[in-house]
Amino acid sequence: MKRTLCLLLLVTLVSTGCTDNLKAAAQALDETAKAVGVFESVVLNANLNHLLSDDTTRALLTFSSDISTAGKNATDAVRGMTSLTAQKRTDLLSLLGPALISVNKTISDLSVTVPSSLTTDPRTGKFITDVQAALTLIQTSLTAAQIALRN
Amino acid sequence: METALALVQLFNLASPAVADLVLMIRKKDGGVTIVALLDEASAQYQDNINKAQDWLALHKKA
Repeated sequence: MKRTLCLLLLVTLVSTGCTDNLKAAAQALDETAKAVGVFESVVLNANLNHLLSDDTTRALLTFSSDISTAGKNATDAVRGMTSLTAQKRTDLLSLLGPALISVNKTISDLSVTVPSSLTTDPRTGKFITDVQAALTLIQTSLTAAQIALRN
Repeated sequence: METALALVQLFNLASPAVADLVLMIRKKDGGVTIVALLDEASAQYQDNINKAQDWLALHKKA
């Protein structure tokens, strides 16, 4: 899992070029938006197929909605910028920091609460793999945005 | 350049879409790419929010 995360982070950083912080941050925010979209599709599809209860789906969609709101706020803040000042960096990082903590917690909760019997069931196993992959993508792209804004 | 910006800002009063053009002209490096990325990201975030909120509205906790 850590190797996959490092590889994804490397690919994201290379693809963003690392030369322009605003451009790198914009690209990472765009990738985060797409990853959250994938996550929501996986969750909604699992709910439709009765693999996820409404309560769990509600919790996961509330989580994804919060991430999207933070991402949209950060995107709108970057839109008006022509350069990154120290204050702007702090403002943007304060938007993305809690979102990343929330993603890390969800990944951790998922690995703790999913019984091993579910991971061996082909249908639920695929859902868990898909949702973990989507969460890892969100985590990676948010981390890339943070790195771009810190440098 | 200043005249061009002034003209664009005048047009901007009538058309919100020109606001992006102003930003594109102002940004020095990769400005067009940044604006396109931010437009795409913003639309995707809004779509995500709408999708989640639509489901949540239809499945309110009893």
